[in-house]
Amino acid sequence: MPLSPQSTDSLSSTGRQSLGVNSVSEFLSQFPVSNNLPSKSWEDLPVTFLHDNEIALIDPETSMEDASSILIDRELSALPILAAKGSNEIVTTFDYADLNAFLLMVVGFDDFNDDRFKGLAEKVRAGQVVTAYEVAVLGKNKDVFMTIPPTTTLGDLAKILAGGIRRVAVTDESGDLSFMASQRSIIRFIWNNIRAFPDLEPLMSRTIHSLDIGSSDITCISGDEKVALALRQMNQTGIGSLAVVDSQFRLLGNISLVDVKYVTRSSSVYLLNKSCAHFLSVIKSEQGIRAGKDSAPAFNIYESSTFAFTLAKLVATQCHRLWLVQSPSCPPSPKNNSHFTGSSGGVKVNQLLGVVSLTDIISVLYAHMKGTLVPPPASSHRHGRRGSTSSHRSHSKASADISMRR
Amino acid sequence: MPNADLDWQLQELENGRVIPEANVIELCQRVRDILIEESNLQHISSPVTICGDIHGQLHDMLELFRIGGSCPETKYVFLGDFVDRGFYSVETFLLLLTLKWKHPDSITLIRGNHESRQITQVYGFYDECVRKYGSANVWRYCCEVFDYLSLGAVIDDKVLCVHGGLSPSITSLDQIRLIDRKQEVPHEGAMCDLLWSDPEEISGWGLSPRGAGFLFGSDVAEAFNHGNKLSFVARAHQLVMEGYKIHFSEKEKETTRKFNEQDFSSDSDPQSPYDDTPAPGDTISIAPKDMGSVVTVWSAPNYCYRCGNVASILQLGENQSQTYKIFGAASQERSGIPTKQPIADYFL
Repeated sequence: MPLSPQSTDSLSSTGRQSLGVNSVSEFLSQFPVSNNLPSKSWEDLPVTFLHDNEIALIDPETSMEDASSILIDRELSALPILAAKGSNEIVTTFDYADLNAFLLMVVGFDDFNDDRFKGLAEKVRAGQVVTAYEVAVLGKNKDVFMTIPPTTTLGDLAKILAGGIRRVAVTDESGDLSFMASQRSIIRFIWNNIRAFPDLEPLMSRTIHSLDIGSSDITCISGDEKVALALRQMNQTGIGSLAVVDSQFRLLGNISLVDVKYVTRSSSVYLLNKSCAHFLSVIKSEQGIRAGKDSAPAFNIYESSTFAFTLAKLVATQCHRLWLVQSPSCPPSPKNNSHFTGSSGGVKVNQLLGVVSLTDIISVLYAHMKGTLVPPPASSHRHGRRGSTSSHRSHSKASADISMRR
Repeated sequence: MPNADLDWQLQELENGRVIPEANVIELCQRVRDILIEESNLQHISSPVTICGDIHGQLHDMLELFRIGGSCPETKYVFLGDFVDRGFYSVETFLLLLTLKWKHPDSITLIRGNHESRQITQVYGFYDECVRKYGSANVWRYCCEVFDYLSLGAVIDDKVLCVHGGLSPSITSLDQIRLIDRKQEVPHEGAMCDLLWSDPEEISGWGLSPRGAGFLFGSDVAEAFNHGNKLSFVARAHQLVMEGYKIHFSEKEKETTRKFNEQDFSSDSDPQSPYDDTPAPGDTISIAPKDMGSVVTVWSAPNYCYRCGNVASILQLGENQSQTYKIFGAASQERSGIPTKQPIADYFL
């Protein structure tokens, strides 16, 4: 199916280069067409198509240590906690934010104004078992946990996830908890079956720039700062990942909440006192040995990257966000340059500009489904203002303010 | 510098001793002068021995030379990734450079994805240079040499050697020759792909889970080889427990077919492939029917001193005959690398 005319003009040479072929459609054409899906519209498919895992659950009596082992060993992002043993109701989840808070509390950081934390700390010092539930209920910034029936459509799920909810539980026909459906799993499903959904094709060659998604309001930390500060910042702000930058604001990598797992063994606590740059080495080295292949220090895209490339990279790297950095070949648009009035020579290659989250991606898919997506610019010289009031943007700010918290 | 000094330099480096910064400056300058004359694709004739990633494992590289023969009596091609991760990246790289200076026509060094400023700052080489020399100068000199390394080699016009793999931007060898290689490894594009890509059981191309380069399937590899009149592509870049791997052979395709056709509904065990894990000292010659369009050569045994893998070198004879020599890690005594003690590890 040929691309619609207006979608091709948004391809810059860098956008083409990103997929290594002359057009997005050429790249897509090599994927097989799945012919076993009951609908050509992804939004009408039932959520059961995302069933690729079996739900892991704990109860209020599971200890912190056991819960952490499950979380880490099974490579989960969050572990739902049942109301009671044998119950079918999920009350909250245990995740890496909780593990991080627990670590900081045990090590002795006094960031917690909550007396209940002090109570937990005393329990730990007394050698008593602390349950995952006790820590999880103190977690701030937690989404209300949702459970949906198997008949829910992907379109309805996208609406939920586009609001920022990361994952939901899905029941089976009898109402028992069955599996988890997440932002990542819906994106993965759509990308892996992209040729089965012809309506999405015009969206594939749109650039990040023309879609006006992503947030330039990012918190970053200098590579020289200590790991303890990074963990404390994530605990205080509730964000899931900190960009680590050098003195020129170039992206070195990121420290995410999930990386706290490298610090929670007593042999590794010394890492808290090391620099963030050093911690990046530890994280990357460990990942590289386990996979048998080393990966790039950071996963990023450009303003000129296509939506297809962005989906492909998210799915291939299994990451939770892609950093928006300055491309070497694409001149920075005027709106980006205004951030760096003090720097000499304008914006540098690999300089951090923003971040595109899974919520942003799903918002695009949902808006496309509803017909409310921001249309491509009439001419390639018109630049949309970042921070314009588009209804599907989740974390945008009118003034771009890259903060370096010290 | 007269050859006597080079021999002293070789001896120092082989014994894990760093050479003075002044020597490093001259060594890097001399090798840059040699490399600047080399093309993006160096042409070599067989017989030649192809080596994969070394990653600073100096004593294992010395073992490699014992197995494969000394240079220049044996001609070598090293597929990159000389530095990072191992404890002796400095000595490893400078030793290879010294050999290049001494016997420029008998050893070819091509660039790996770790021969990069950005990567060496994350994976260890930068830190090692600062630790051993007290400043980042030596790291800087070495990075300048990285920029001059060839991107690949072609043996007998029949075997392409690159560190990673293929690129969707490259269909002919001539396109590789047109690249301006004298720069830091870019984040994307042909030069990046050649150093970052991996063969994979897919059709066509896919984005790489590494976040750089691509995955490419047997159809891509076969078309590339056919279009460029190559027998196969030799590359490294991925840890292989057996030391080497033949990709996309008829045997592998048949095994995959049989695996996919199996009935998993019954309780019977699926047919398991026969276990012929190679051991150090093995010499494996590949029969023509077992050849594949891509091979991986991995030359860092017991990778990072903990993976427990064996390593190999590929001896390429006339008519592109392939013989893999398997070797293991140098003994602990020889290398002086402390064995990792398991630590009683308590959760907080």
